[in-house]
Amino acid sequence: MEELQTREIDRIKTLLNAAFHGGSWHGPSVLENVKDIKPKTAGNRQKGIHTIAELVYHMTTWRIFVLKKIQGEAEFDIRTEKQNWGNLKEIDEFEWETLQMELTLSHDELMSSLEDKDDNFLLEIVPGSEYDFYTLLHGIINHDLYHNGQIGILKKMAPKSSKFDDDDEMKSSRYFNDGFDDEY
Amino acid sequence: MNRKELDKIIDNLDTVFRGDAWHGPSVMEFINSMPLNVVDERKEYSKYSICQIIYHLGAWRRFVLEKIGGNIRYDLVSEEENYGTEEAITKQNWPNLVEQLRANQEELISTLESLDDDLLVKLVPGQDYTYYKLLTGLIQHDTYHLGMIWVLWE
Repeated sequence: MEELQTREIDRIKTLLNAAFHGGSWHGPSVLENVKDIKPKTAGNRQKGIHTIAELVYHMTTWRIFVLKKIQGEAEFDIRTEKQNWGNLKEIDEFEWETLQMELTLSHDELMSSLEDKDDNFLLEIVPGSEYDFYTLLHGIINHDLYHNGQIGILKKMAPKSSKFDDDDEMKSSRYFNDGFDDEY
Repeated sequence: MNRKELDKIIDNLDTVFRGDAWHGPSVMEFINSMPLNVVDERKEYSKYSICQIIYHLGAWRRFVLEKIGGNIRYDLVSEEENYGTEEAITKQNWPNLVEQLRANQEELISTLESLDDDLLVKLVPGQDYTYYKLLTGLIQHDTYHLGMIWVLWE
């Protein structure tokens, strides 16, 4: 049984970690969804939709946004398409590994930047905006899960590139291979 | 009556449902701009149609309401309980599906408004987690499924 943490900031940190690593109420976390995706699937372009690789880049970008705001950078903003979605070309093993590593790194940095914060911090206005850090932190969780839902479907849409990929995928994605019936 | 934190949760629940959420599109923004011909479309890569997901979002609001009402045994186990019966998830029934979801949302908000922060630390009857986890989870559940709806719609 889980005891609810006393400080609100700690509760939000728990939610942030759960949405990213696992243990969320709603179902699969970002990493649970992303970990078994192959480079070919990550780079697969469906008409009118960003690729999984671009979505991962985008999630990292907005984590960095939160981080910069916590560090007090009022001027920091994400303005161009390139800043928002990257300028990704071919997604090979190396590129895909890098994107995932940057995502995890940005999460770790975000978590450590919250280490010395208390509940008063949640009421502070985000530099350069009109909303508070409570809104921003819940916002980034919702943002993660919104794009995570997209990734969940996009990975099913990608054509299987070879027999080998197929077998491999069956093995590694057993937990979710019956569709999207998340636990709740 | 202290409702500092519950008020913020109600606000998040409402924003993700009605609009102006930090992360992007809300449930109603999607519903209002979706062409009717896509709502019951079956795609080979998705187990569920948009109609089914809308049913699902309403069903879990009902779950929360039942739990707040003290219904220990209430649960959504079968596919039909979770994603609706064949008759419920047709294009013809779309207006009713949307209405059901809206009604459940409204009932949930007004029920929560009658409670206070003490609710958040309580365990959900028949479950091993608190209402804090359930309510924040319900909001995240919305955004997760909104992402799916977006891809199904494209």
